[in-house]
Amino acid sequence: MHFALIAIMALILIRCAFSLLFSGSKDEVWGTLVDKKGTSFELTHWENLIGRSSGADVRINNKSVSPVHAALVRDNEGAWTVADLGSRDGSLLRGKAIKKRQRINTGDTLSVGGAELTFTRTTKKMEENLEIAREDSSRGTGAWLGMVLLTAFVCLLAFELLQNLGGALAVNVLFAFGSVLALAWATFILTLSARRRGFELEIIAFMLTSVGFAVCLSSDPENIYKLGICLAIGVSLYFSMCWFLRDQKRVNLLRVPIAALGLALLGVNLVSASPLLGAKNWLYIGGVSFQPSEIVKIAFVFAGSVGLERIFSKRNVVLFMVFSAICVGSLAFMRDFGTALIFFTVYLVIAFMRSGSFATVFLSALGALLAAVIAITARPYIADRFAIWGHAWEDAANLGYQQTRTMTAVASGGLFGLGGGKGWFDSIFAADTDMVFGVVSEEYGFIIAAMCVFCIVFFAFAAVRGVKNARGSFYAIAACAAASFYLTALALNVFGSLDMLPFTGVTFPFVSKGGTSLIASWGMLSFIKAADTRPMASFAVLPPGTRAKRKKKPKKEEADEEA
Amino acid sequence: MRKLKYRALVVAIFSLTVLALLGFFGWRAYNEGGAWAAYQANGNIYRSGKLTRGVITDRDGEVLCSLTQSGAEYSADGLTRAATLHLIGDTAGNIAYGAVRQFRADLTGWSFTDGVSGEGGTVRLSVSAEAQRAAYSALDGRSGAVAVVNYKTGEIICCATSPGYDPIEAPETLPDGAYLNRAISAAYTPGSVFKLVTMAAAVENIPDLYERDFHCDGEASIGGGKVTCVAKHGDMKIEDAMAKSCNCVFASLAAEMGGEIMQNYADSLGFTSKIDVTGAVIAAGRYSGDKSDDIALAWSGAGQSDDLVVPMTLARYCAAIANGGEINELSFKAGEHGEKTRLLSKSTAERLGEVMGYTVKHSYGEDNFPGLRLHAKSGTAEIGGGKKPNSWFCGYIENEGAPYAFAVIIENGGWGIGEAADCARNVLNVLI
Ligand SMILES: [Zn+2]
Repeated sequence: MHFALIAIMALILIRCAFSLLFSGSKDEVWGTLVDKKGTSFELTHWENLIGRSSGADVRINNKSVSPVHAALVRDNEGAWTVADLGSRDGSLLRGKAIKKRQRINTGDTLSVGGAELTFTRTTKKMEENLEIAREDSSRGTGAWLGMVLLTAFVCLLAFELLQNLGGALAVNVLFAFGSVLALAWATFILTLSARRRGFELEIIAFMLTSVGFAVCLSSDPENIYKLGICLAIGVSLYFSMCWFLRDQKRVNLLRVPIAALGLALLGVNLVSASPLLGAKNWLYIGGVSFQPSEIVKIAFVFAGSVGLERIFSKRNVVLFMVFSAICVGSLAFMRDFGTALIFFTVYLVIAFMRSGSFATVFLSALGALLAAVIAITARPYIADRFAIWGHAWEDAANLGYQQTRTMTAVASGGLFGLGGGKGWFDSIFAADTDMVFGVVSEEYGFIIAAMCVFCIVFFAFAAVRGVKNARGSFYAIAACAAASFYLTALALNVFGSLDMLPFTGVTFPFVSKGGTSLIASWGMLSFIKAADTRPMASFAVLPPGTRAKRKKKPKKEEADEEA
Repeated sequence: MRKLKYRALVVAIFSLTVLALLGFFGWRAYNEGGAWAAYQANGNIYRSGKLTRGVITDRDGEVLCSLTQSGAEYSADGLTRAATLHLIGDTAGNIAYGAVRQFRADLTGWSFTDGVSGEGGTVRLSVSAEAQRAAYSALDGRSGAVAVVNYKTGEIICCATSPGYDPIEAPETLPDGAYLNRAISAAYTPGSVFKLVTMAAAVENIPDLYERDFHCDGEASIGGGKVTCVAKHGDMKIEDAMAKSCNCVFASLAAEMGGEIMQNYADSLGFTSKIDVTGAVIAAGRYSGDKSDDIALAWSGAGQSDDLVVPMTLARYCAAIANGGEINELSFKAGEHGEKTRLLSKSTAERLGEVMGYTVKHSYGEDNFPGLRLHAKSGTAEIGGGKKPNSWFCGYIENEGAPYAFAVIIENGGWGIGEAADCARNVLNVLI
């Protein structure tokens, strides 16, 4: 019976959901446009779309304004530029036609179609909001309580496993949960010292990681040391990426090189990979094995996420389509069909976010379907996997082996589980990775396993929520792409092992045993963190004004900032 | 950015889909989890393919078998072990429908909330160990079977088969067919008991059946062939034709009605198909009304030709006759009443009941079955090859507290009213 564990987990989830998803946060206001009649439009993002379309941020209902007319973009230093997005009637800045991106300053008039707008950078309202946020963060009790709950959760798990696994594994257990707690508290203090108060995503991620560690301890306790090191690497990657994502200019500059690196890594993988269990997706370097495809996921997000101006000026996604096709194709060639499917699903989400067109998505889905049909008919063993889908019990000894045993494990555990380390299922090959939902259900119960699913869904909603206030479209798309990586992997892992989707052998983010997967899961989380623009919340988001104060600026800019 | 805000809703929809799938899985687990947990690969409750928990008792709570970590523990009494073995199943899995296999989902003690974390479950079978012992003793090593069902509830009260063996002290070489549960898995030539089926068809298809005068000269020619009786039965009405078990009458009735009608009755009364009951599947018998010559069709109406009947199916039919034509489908689990199934109209069932009562009164003698208020029909099925005929006895007793229908077969037992009837009497006497 895991009543305490369930209660704490539920409490953590509910608290995090309330503070991140349901707390009404005020829009950040970075500037205003005022038309001739005196109507004022607040610029609530760093990237704002001006046009007649209902989806425009500055919506001007005037026939001479194109649906998607112009983009008004702020950079990290607070400098604003304006670009025409191929509008029919063109845009004028200070009376002159805008050809390429142009600097815009306070007091400048911008004519879009027939409408004339006066631009002002405001900082006053932001300063007020910031003041309120600082007061909030100085209280900061919410995050502290969350950390206490997380600590209790981890200690309960450790206590249970110490009891059930016996003294021989005491060191492994203490190492596992000790490292989780040490990293959680260290990064929490780091976050506080950076004067940020948002720690919901990290608490949930640490909670999932500790469930994964518990699984590893009962199935493969010797591996826990490697996982502990990978967690440290993953958390470091997470904070490095958060820091990196703070600066949009830096991101824009390195976006393409990172994508190229990803492709290169995949290429190396293709050439020199060692086949392991059918899928050739492992690399061995200096005695350490890792799965490049997990790291390529991060490069994929960088490649797919772009700024607003690019979205609306170059409407096609051909380049990204080619990039995706290479990724998906290589993975399929390496026989890692589960991961290929994940990349493809994320591609669909990104393509939709960028184009807004179901037609684009539909067409690429059709193309992929054709490719899939060819792949399935060419490789009989994939056809087998599809054939057994939904009928696992009819061939429980062979093709339905994993699925039937997972269902048996889930049923055995009931709602409350048999106890950590007490199940039978963890002795089945790959139970702790591809069928981890079964291990968690059997040993900790269906409720806890379902709450692990809720945790991933929580990340997804955090991304969706972040898009509303995200400063730029890169962050919005990246957050949704990361969420889609999580969701697709989760769905294929959980429902594949339960015979509700084809069984493809992919990992449950954070929970499945696997070093590279753990590192990538943590790295991916930074994209969602970077979309969290609650005042003084996210480590990955610079508070307004910070950069401007630190960095030397042209005199005129300083004056603007103070105005 | 507002555009992206709307587009991001695909991720929200994706999330909700995942949650919906999870909910759907929870619902499946709630309904099917018992079967999943009972899967033999479940190392929590199986050791090398054998269930390690659960208790099987008879309807009165007498423990017949306990499953433990070290194997199956049968009853301490040798007769009980042998008499109930086919209901429980052997450890090697040679017996088809043992409770150990059929009710394993109940034996695991699984529940949706607790999974298999609690104790194993107890399965209370519908059979009476007392009746099993009486039947097994009465069969006395001869090949045969005894089937008794409660016609008000459909519960199977006795399902004995012989030869069997004691699973603890099994002889080196088992008798032929020792694994076979003859009551539910073997089909025999029915002989005269099949006249109850021909009678049901005749009651509903020959309007003047009860007014007709029948005559028997000991033989009758039908379609160029000859049907024979053991004696010249002379003039009689239909009741006496049943009481005297006149082949000539029932054979000519079958020929008169034709193969199609006979086939319909054999089918709808359950004699020709497998029957799913709680805890087992009763094997299919055989009846073919599609015959090239009339004489074969005629003989089939008297239960010869190529007719085959499974004892439990016959008991089920007698139960329907006793219960106004309708029964709860049979069950090996106590307290479990299967779906209502109508085999006969109420009036036809009553007619058949009357004629079976008349048969006991005028042919077998009520005094031979004291205190039973018996309605019955015997059968002596010629099987050829110089072997003694198979001996059948089936029917039901009118008794509020013991509403039982039965069928007994003893292979090569000779006259139905002899061996099989004795056996039935012994078992019924234990039960009332
Ligand atoms: Zn006669």
